[in-house]
Amino acid sequence: MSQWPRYEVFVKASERGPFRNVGSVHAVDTEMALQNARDVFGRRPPVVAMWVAPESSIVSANSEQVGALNDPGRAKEGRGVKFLIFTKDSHRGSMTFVEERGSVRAPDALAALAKAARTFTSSPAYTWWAVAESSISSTDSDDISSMFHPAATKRYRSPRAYHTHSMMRQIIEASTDGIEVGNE
Amino acid sequence: MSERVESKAQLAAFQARIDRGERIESDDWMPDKYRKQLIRMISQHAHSEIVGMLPEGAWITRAPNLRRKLVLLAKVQDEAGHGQYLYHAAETLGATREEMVELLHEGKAKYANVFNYPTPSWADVSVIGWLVDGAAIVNQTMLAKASYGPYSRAMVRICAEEGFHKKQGQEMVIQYALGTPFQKEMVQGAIDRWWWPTLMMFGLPDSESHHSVQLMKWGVKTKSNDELRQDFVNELVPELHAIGLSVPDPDLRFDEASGNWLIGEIDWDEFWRVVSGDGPLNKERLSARRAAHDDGLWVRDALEAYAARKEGSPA
Repeated sequence: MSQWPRYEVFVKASERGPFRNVGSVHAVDTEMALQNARDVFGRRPPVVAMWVAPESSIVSANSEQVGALNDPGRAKEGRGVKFLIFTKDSHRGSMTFVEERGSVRAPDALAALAKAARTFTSSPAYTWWAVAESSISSTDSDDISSMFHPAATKRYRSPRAYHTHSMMRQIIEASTDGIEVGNE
Repeated sequence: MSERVESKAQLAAFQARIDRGERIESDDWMPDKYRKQLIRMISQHAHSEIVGMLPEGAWITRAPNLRRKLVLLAKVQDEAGHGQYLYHAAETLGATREEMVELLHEGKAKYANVFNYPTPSWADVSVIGWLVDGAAIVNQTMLAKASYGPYSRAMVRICAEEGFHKKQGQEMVIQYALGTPFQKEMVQGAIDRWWWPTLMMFGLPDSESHHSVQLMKWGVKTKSNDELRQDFVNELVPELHAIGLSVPDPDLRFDEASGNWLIGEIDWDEFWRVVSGDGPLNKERLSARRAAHDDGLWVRDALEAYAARKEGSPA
C-alpha cells in the first residue's frame, strides 16, 4: 500500500480571518487533496476557504530552533521568493494549530524563518512554519456555495437539534410532581 | 537507528514543561517512551473510530425512517473523520499510515473492545449513541487537555462533534423508553447488552492499569480510569432511572456518604477474553476492515491513474 503524499490543510472561517492549520490529508495530487480536505475538515465548524500545501514544502521549527537560525554568520540574505509564515502563539487548547501571520521574501525556507523571527516579534511564538506561496493550492471564492455551504445547512448534525436537557428536566419534574410519564 | 542517550537534564526539562502546562509539539524534544506510548495510544484510538463505524453502519440500510437514516449516516461519517484526525496526530510522531493499518489488519494493534459486540436491534443504535459515545465524551474531554498538541487538538475537535452523537442517541432512548411496550422492551434489552461493555471502555481498574501512571505523569491523562468510570455512572444512572429503565447490575447502590452510585463487580475475565480476540465479532470486524482495504484497491488505482493522466495531458 502506498500512503500517498501528505498535504497540510489550512482553513479560513470567515472572509477576513487568517488561515489556520487544522491537520493533514493524504492525496495523489492537489485536486484530490482539496477534495479530501473538504470532506474531512469542511464539515464543522463552517469554512469559507481552504489551502493545501505538500508536507514536503513546509519547514517547521520551534522557538529554540528558530533562534539559532539568527546566530551571527548563519543568516542568509537575498531577495528570493515569497514565503507565508504561520505561528502558534499560545499553549491554550484549541482545534487549530499554527495561524497565518504574514509573509517574507527570502532565498529559502530556513532564511524565511530566520527573517520571520526578526520581523514578527509582537508576541512569543512557540512554533514557526514557512511555506513558499507557490506551494499552496487554494479553493476559489466560487467554491463556497458548492464545496462549503451545504455542510452549514445540515442542521440535523448539530447538537442543538436535540433537546435532551429540556426533555430530561420535564421528565424529572413531572415524576417528582407525581404525574405519570409516557407517550399517549 | 542511532542510539539515543536521554540525559537526566533533558528528561527533567521535559517534565518541567509538562508541569508548567505547556503543549509539546512535533518539533520539540521528547523522551522516546513518550513518543512510543503516544503512537500506540493515538493509533489505537484512530483504529477504534474506524472499526466503530461497523456496528452502527450495519443499520444504515434498515433505519426506521429517512430522518433516522440521515442522522445515522452523518454520525458514521463523523467517525470516519475522527479516525482521520487521529491518524494525522499519530503521523506527526513519525508513524506512517501503512504501518498503523498493517498492524491493525494483522491483529497486532488493538481497538476499543466495545466494538466487538453485535447490534441485534435498532435500539442498540440509540443506546450506543447515548452510552458508548457518552462514555467517549467523558474520556475525550479529559484527553483534550493532553500535553501532546496534535492529540489535544484532535480531541477538542472530536469533543465538539461527539455532542451530537450522544444527544441523538439519548433522544431516541428517551422516546423508546416512554413509548410502546415493544419499544420499551427493545431499548431495555439494548441497555442490558451495552451497559457492561461501556463501563469496560474506561479500562482496567487503577490498581491494575500499568500504563496510566506514566501517562498521568506526562500529562496525557489527567484523571484515572476509575474516576472517569465513576463520573460516567453518576451521570447515567439517575437519568436512566428517571425514564423507567434499569441497569443490569443487581449490586448497584447509592452511597449517601460519597454521593456516588456504586456498581457491582466488572467481569474482567470477559474483558480479557474479548481483548485477546475471543469476543463475539472480533474476527468479523477485522475481516470487514481487510475487505474494505482490499476491495478498495481499484479505487486507489483509479485515482492514481487519473492523476497521472492529468499530469501527462497538455496544459
